[in-house]
Amino acid sequence: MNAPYNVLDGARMKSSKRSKFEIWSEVLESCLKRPRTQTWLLRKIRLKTQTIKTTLQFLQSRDLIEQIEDFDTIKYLTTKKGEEALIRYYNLISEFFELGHRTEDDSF
Amino acid sequence: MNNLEPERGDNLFKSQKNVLEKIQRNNQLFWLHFAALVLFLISSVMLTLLLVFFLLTVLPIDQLFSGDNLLVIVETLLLTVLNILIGLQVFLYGLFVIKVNRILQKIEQINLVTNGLTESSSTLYYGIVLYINNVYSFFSRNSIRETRLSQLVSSYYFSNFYRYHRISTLIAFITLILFPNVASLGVTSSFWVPLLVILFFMMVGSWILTWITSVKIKTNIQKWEALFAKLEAWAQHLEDSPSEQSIF
Repeated sequence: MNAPYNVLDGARMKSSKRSKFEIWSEVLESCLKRPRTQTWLLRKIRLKTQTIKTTLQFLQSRDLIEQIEDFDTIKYLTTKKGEEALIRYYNLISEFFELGHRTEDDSF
Repeated sequence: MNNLEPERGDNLFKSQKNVLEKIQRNNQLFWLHFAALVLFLISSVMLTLLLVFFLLTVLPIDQLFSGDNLLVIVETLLLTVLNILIGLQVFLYGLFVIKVNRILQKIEQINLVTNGLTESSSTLYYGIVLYINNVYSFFSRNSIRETRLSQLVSSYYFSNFYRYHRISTLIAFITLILFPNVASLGVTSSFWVPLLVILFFMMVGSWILTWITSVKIKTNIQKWEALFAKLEAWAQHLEDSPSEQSIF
């Protein structure tokens, strides 16, 4: 098991008021279609520079996103593993947005 | 740029499309509840104004606080309280509905622009997570994040959505029960009676609709509370998973 990052504190990121799943899923979805720069993500997801850096570092360490060099610019793209994680995330949501549908306890 | 666009699996397209369809259906429920609330507020405000007008002009001043006229005063007071409660609900809920609806419209617009005005089975959507995050920040009991009064009030309202709605429903119920008695008091003019009847039925109709939709939203909120815990578990799982292994 990998050692957890220091910035990760319980369910929330220390430097942000948002939960880990909110930030991570948003980054993974943003980098799905095409590679994105750190500045683009910073502006779109509205995070502090330190938080986006740590988030990208974390997602990279878990192989969920990869770094790509495009004309001397560093960009980030969601990997197959990241795509897999996002599918799981969407499926969880689908299950719960089903009106009048009872959910069963899923184990990860 | 296009050569950097990766190939994505069918499962991703399917799961995104599935979520989006459910979000759109859910959004219709949010809108229906909002429309019913607005209709209820309009009819309730009009009724209050009408009753105040009766009190000041039609009913004799010397008999204002006597006998049956007291009922009109009680009804007017109840309606005023109801107007404040529903007004607050419309404001807070309206902010939420407008925000999530704007996100949903953006998801659709972005995709129409980037996919040349066509949606195919391999259309990638962007913004679904943002929609979910907004629903989470409004409805999660754990999401009271700011200490500003306005945010605390809105957090309280959404985390007690149904309880708050029950209070206004109770007052609305009493108001509607009392209303036929009030309408029969001294209002014999053929001009006022149809207006009162129309307002009454508008209130009853919108009240029933608000009640039904609030029950549906309440059931959803209960489910989402379990979802939020699962999403946090999803993040925890990402955190604990070794880099070289598949996640799920």
